[in-house]
Amino acid sequence: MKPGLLALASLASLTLAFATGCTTLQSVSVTQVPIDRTRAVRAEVSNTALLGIHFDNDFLDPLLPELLAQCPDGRITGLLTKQESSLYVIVATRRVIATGYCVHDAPAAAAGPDAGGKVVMAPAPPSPDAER
Amino acid sequence: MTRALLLLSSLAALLALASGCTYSVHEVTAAGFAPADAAPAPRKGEWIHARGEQSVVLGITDNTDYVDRAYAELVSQCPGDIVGLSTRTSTSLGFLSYTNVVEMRAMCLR
Repeated sequence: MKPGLLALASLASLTLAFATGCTTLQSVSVTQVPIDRTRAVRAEVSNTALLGIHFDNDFLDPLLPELLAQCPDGRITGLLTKQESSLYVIVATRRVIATGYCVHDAPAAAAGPDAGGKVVMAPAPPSPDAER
Repeated sequence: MTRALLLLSSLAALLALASGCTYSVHEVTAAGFAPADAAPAPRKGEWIHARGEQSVVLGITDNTDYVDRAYAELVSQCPGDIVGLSTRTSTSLGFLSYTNVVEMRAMCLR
């Protein structure tokens, strides 16, 4: 093979590699999946940094509020959470994607006939000071 | 002696790369054993399984969609509650390439 052709092939391979990037899965988890899968919810957060140097992990914070905003009166289950990272030349991106289902329980099934679908908190135990 | 050692090391490395004999498990999780929905009567449980793969040549890839495909396959197998989900992610090494694998096992409550 001629040196020029070899150099061209190498350059093309490198360009392809850099343009496409290298994405790797860091973590995956799934919670129990409900019968009712009609209301899907999805949230994604990401963080890009030069040379992969990140200064905090705050990019994760909006993930939960974003999910909860899509299911204000129900509960989220069947949650598939993926954490992946991508490297593009000298830029690294961290990304977390969560998809799941919003389930609305009948009030009776959720917390009893008098609960009205709301969460009923158990009374707090008496503090040790009160018993003295 | 040094030359023979070098040759032997090269042969071993070539064999490992060519036969794809290197396997690594990255993560194993097990969770979600309580059903998401309450049921008035006992239900029958049966194990379901889904697998997603991604072949990567020279480390070039731009997605992790194989995980989504595995999850969709798992969910499509069961119209009822899916509980006891365990996931396993691994990689098997081939010649100048590797295969990412995700396996999901769970119990379908019908």
